[in-house]
Amino acid sequence: MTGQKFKEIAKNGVLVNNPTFRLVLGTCPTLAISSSVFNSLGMGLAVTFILICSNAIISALRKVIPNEVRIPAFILIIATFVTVVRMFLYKYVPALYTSLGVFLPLIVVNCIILGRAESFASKNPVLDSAADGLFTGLGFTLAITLMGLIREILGAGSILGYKLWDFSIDFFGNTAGAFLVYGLMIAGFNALYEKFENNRKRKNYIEEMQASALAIQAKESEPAENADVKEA
Amino acid sequence: MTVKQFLHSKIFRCIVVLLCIALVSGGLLAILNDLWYVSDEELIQRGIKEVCGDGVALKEICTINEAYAKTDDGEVKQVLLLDTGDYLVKAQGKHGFQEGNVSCYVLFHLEDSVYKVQKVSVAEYSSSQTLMSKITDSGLAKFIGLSDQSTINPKEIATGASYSSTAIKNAVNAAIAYIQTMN
Repeated sequence: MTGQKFKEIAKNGVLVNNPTFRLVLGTCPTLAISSSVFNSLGMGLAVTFILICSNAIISALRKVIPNEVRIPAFILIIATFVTVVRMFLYKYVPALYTSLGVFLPLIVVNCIILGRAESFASKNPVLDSAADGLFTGLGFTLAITLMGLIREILGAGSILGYKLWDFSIDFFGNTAGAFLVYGLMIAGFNALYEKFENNRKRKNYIEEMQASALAIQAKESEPAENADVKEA
Repeated sequence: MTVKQFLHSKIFRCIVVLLCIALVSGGLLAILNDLWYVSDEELIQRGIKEVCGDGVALKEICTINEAYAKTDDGEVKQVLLLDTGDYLVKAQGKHGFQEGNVSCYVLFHLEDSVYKVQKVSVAEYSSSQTLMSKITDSGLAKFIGLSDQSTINPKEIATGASYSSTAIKNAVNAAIAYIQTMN
């Protein structure tokens, strides 16, 4: 994998195809779990681990798995890693295991993981797929943690369980608050993304125009120079 | 289709691939399950640590009197006597969301010769309780100081998760009903 491709995968996973804000995938855990930073970070890291492992294994087996049974095979592989994460959390981080509850086993049918398996891992080499899993997972983790941060500050007046002040707005801890924060964050992220994208396009367009103007100038000056040479 | 044809068919290949993945996954999970096994003793220690914090140890696992352990809405699963003299009762409450259950640890402290609730903590719950993240410590604190069965409105424990709150209330009530029989 070249550095350029690695950069492209990283940019796609975190920004261009951010699963939460750009593709609006994995909405169910995003809304349900983002009530606190601890839960959000836990869910994000769990999904990232599963994405990396499942992408790598699916990519390694992509030539072995027949097309007709690819979805059941992907589900089997993803379910294995989800179970590994469940067992690990139950043993070492029981508080997070309890907090994530039913949304932990539900990662098996998370659209982000299935989507990356189907659209990327089943068509690309192992290293590329693992990198894609890492950056898509990081994109999801950043998005859900940011949501968790906003909701915990506004809804509980705390960060990571540490009380900041007594003021809190219960609405942000509820489902309706989750929808509102999610909607505003999608709008904000896309507005910023469009702004940067338009700036980049304008910059590229200006550079292209300058380059073509220089090329035209060079062409126009060429016959005159040739004529000077002939006269001489 | 002959056996030879079947062995060379795509159907056979599909079955073999899926079986291989399932076998390898199963093997891996079996090994990890053995490595990361959580024993009953560890679960008890976890419960004590979660409710009472560090520095409190188990003195005795009490034998449950079956005659008082079950109520209509809940059941006492475990009664632990701590070295502080307090009792930690693990009780299961019924009638959660979709008739699911919620188990809670209820810590009792003896005050004026009456056992009063000192702390409540959720231990585990059935998978149908999808809104357990709404149950917060401040909601569970509503039970502190109670010595009689609670008449708290489940909506006071958590709004938007009233079925799960009902199961929690039932668990606490079962624990209170049982502990009063030990007086």
